[in-house]
Amino acid sequence: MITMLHNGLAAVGTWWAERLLDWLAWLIAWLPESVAAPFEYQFMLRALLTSMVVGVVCGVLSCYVVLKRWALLGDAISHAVLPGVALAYLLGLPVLLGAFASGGLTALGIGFIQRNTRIKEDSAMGLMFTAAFALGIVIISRIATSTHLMHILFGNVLGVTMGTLVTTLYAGLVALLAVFFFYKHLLVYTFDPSHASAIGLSTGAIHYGLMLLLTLTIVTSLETVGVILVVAMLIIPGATASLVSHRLPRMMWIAVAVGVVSSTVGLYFSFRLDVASGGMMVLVAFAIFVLVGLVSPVGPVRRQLRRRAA
Amino acid sequence: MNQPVTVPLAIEARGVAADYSGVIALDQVDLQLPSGRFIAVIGPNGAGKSTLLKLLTGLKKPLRGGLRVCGMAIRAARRANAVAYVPQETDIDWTFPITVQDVVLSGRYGRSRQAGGWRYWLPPRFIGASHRALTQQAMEAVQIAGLAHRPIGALSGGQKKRVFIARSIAQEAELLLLDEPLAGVDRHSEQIIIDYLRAFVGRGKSVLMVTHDLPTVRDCADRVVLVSRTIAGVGTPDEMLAPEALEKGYHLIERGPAQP
Ligand SMILES: Nc1ncnc2c1ncn2[C@@H]1O[C@H](COP(=O)(O)OP(=O)(O)OP(=O)(O)O)[C@@H](O)[C@H]1O
Ligand SMILES: [Mg+2]
Repeated sequence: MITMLHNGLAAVGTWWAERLLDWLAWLIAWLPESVAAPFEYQFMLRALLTSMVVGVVCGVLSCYVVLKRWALLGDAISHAVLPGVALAYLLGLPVLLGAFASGGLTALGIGFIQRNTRIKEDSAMGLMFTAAFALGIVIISRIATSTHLMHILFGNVLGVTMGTLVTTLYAGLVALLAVFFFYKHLLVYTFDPSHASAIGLSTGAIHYGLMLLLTLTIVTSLETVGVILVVAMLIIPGATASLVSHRLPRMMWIAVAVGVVSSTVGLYFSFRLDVASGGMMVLVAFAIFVLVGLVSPVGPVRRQLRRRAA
Repeated sequence: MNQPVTVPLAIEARGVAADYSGVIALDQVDLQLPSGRFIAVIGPNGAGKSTLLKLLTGLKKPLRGGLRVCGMAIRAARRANAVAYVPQETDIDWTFPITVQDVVLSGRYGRSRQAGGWRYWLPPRFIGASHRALTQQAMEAVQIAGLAHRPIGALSGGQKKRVFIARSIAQEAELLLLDEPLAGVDRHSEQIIIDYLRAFVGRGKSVLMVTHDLPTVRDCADRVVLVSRTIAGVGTPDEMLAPEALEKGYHLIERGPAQP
């Protein structure tokens, strides 16, 4: 029964992934030959589509991470998924499952330490996620080659298979649908949790739901940017968007744009310069942040212009 | 407190205690406050006033004891949208990317769920015309309709407070909890807020207002609760604002932190 469902979903997903890849190829054909050249390869097209999905999903979630001040929590979860990924790989289970399990256990551990000791939240997080990360490193060093470890830590977007692409598409779809249908819940919860509670929303469920979404996003981005740098994609797009927008929906569109541009442009340059894709994507994102920061309404460029005019 | 049994209670607490990571903030809270009254909550900084409100919204679970609002358990009261909340200045991130109108509209979210239907699951722009009309009326009631599209951070202190009052109006609650709604508010805004609260109580609803503004308490409140890590006293404004009563409440807190 479950295998039937799984095979069915995989077949549908693959069909859609192929359509999307065809469409991408058609779009790229309009670009100048020098830019389009690398995407003659199927693996480059798959990498491009994966990067775009990651850019979109990270962009959306990064808004919540920035507004909720969850940057450290995002970092904690991204490191904490490592032992789960390693064990799932070892036992032949779905990676997503392992990542959720270890991310969730670490989050529970953080809560437990906080409630039962005098240790503050930031120390509790630092403590738990480094421990989980260390466990992950130890397991991986036992079972895999160092290239494999490098791929998990820093991503390997050029090696994305059709299967991974399909999983990424599904995970991205689930994350986006969740944000769409629970938009109100997430909005009131991030803005004023007391009001959320007073009007009957379950703040506990929303809190853990948002953490799950964050974990899902992180797992989705593992192949592309890797465990260590994924948190950058969960902060920079939202932080950039928050410089220039006064409404959450607009902030999300801008963050998505920043996410997609940095992941695709980063991918392109990483191929051209033969450097790590995750690192390149984050650098492009950071460059966009600096540019937007300079020309934003409160940034130094406009301030100078205003002073000149006054 | 000897209330005739016929008066329904707005707030009922029995032996309630609350803590933050094991540090007790409130202990042995016993309260029976009638509905249809204007109740003021006073007490020194760190007395647990905001904590009391968080218990009543259900955001915080009591460590011990039982709470009821408007004759319902907290959970049922939340489901019924019976309690509205106006946050303390420091509890809100004023850089949050949200407009005045969107804040007030969020007062309707719970009502939208109660009404049922698929619209509830869509983003707020699809919430429907009736909810929007009530949002508009709520903004007009406290004279902020002209600010509807401003970001929440681009308002004065008094205007910000009125936005949250408007949100509670939109919610159509029975009990209104306000955490220092008059702090940093000028005469004009204060008058609008107080007038609205009086009219609200006049319609048989209840107000529980945390404040440090004792003259306003004397003018407006029917009943005063003095909080100081526990309930240090409940009475009429004249009783509770007498120097001896205040002395008692404002000194209890200086005994150092209570242990669980
Ligand atoms: N999130 C928190 N974590 C830990 N301790 C807290 C937290 N919030 C409040 N406290 C502590 O609980 C106690 C009661 O706080 P509360 O905010 O209820 O006081 P208050 O009466 O509202 O004070 P104020 O007049 O300053 O608003 C204080 O000692 C405070 O330090
Ligand atoms: Mg307070």
